[in-house]
Amino acid sequence: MIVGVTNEPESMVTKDVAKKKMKYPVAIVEGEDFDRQYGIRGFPTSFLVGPDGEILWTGHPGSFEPEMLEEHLQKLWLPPTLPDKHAALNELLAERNLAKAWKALEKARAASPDDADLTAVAEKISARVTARLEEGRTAEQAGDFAAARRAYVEVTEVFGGVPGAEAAKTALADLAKNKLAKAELDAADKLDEALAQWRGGDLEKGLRGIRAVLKKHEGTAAGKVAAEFIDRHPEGD
Amino acid sequence: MKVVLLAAVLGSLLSAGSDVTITVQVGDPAPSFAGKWLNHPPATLQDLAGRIVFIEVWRTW
Repeated sequence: MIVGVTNEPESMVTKDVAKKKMKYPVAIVEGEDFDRQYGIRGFPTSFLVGPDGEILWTGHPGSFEPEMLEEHLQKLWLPPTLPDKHAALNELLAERNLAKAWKALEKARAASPDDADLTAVAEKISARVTARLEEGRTAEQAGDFAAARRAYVEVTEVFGGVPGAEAAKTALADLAKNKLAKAELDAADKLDEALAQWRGGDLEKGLRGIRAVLKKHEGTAAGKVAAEFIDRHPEGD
Repeated sequence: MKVVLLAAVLGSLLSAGSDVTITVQVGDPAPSFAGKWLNHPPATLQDLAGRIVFIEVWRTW
């Protein structure tokens, strides 16, 4: 989605949005915090943010190449949609409330077993569960325990109730028993916490946390990410 | 003149001490922001997780 951001007075922005017939979401932020954190030096400036909140690209909107989106789009899973007569189901799907959607889908399939659209959607959801579990296992084997956990947690939280999803619970329990995984995940948690503080605007505390991960969790994947972060911002700038 | 300069230097030192400035770069997590929204229900950037978001920062002038 495209989001416009400005910190000008609401009345001014509302007038401009109406005049230019802008239909896309515009966030009016207050004060200078946004510009300071994003290091805005001129206008317009744009940022491409990935599904997990990572900055993927930044520059003048005119220099953005849509092809840059392709590889990131492939990683996204968008819930399937059904014809309009299944509006209620579509809503659950769009909310990514797959546990509820699956129940409703089963009910609808029991009522109309010959509806090929319903079957196709059920298959797509099952395929996503299988694929995500597989991604989790591959990450685990590669030692990327944080990515493995993310995959398993997504399957448990988003796809709970879908057949096969319970395997993720077992996988999570196994991860918790694995000593090496535990050290990696502890570090990942500490880093997430620090990055969340940083993202939330508490730069000093966030930066302290990131430095602590670098120091205390050397050799872990999170320690490496922390080191890269500090390398990018050597003077806290 | 000197006093003014000293005050300015002190002032910038003081503010530098209490105010870390970081400019986001590719690879960093995007700082979340909230605001008053037009054409969209209230949200923070973190609420939009799971989507690819193209942020365009502009001014009306």
